[in-house]
Amino acid sequence: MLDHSQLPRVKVLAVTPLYLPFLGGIEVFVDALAQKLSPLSIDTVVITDSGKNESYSDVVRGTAVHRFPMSRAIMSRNAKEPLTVLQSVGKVLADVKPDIVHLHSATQAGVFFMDRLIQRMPRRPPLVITQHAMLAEADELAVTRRLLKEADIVTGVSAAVLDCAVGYSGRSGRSEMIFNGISAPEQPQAPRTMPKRHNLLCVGRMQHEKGFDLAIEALALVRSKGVDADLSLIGGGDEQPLFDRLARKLAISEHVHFLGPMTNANARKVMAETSILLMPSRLREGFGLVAAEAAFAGTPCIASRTGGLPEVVQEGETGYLIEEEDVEALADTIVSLLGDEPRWYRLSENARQRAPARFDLDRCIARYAELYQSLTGGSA
Amino acid sequence: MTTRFAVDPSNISHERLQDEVIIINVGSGAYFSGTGPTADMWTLVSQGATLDEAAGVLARTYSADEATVRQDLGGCVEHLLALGILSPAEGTVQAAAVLALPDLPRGEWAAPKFEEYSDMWDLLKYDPIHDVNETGWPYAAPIVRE
Repeated sequence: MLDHSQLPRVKVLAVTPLYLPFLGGIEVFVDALAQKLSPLSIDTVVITDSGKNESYSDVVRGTAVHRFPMSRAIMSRNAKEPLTVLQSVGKVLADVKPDIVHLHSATQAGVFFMDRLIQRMPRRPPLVITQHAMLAEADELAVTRRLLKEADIVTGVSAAVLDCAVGYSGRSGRSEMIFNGISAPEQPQAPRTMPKRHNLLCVGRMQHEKGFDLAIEALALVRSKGVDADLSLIGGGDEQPLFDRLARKLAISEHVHFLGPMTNANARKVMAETSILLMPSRLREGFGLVAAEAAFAGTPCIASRTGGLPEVVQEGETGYLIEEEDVEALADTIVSLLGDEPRWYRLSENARQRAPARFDLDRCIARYAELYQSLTGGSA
Repeated sequence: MTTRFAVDPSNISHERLQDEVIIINVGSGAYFSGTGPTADMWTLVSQGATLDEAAGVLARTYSADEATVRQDLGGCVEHLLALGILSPAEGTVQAAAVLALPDLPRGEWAAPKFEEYSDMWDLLKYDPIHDVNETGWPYAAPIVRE
């Protein structure tokens, strides 16, 4: 048995768009990586955006985090601001002396600063990029293309994302698909029975791209077919009033419940009492974290056939896929599934039983530990 | 060559900090960044130096062949003119009284070349940070900064 305490510690500089206490898929995932890699003699230092006009450093759950106003500096259109941030990030890089730089997304403000700095280093540390989002070929993004091409290893959170990143950059180097790992719920989910009251759920930012308006329209159709169902929405965002107005216009506002932002633990409790999770996204979702969390909860999912969602939602096995914008197909699929309890149970059980293996956090972490090890000659 | 060059302050923001210079075309969102000879060239030309004057200073600073330096500068400035970062100065523009470069350690001369980041606004379009606050998306933050 390898005694990791005897190994030289390896420093990974993780560059993320944001970090805790901001919560998003990347932030939660990098925190889990940092926590789980530390006992394996791998230390993570985070460089991220402060989301404010100021720079500051803190320690979050044992991880050193250096925050800079990277995005705002770029948006300032004043050359002095990105230069000042560049100098500050450079000081951290010089202090940390990372063995590996890991960019969590090649499309974030931090990419500009890291690109400038690592180009100036006499010996660039190995570069890993984990791509979380689909890229649009029409976007030039020269720095993103170049870094994706030159990185020592590129990983994608789904095959769709990885294929997109490889095609976009024309890279020929090592590339791997690693599904995002997800922590199992505190209490393992027992087999479910279909909730007596039909309740549908959407989770995410209240924005047009998530397609929650399509879910509301589908609910109206579902109810018009005589199926008594409600829809709850978890999350915050600027477009909630639009969704609220749509529900009122369709005369179903008493059946649409805006639950607001929630902790991840609470959101997952709600998922575990839900009939069907809906993800009628217009975004080319890279992975579909919420769909994976729903699978742990034994909740079938109906999602758009876009991005990485068809890999997370197994058609006819753990849920169904519909074409983007197809409200009628969404409504028909909901009605059909709610009217077939044995089928609902089969999907629920498939999702519940397969999720721990498909989205296992420890296995995901182990894959990253192996990647790091391969780049540091085995010391990680 | 007696042409001096102008930088339109209404469209171009530029700044040098130690060995790094950043130039922003505010209208297009294109960023240009350079270090070493590239930063020094920019410093001189943006002070109003002609190519000959800049070549003289840089050749002395880098102990390099002045004709080579002059040729290298010509290529880079031509590119910046084509991009609209520089324009030929109109009227009687005077160079700074003393064409000064910051006192920094310097390596060998290399032809100036800016790294171009021509689509920073597109890059930020992918970055979720401008539409979040500390309530998170979609979840509220349960973690208090330690």
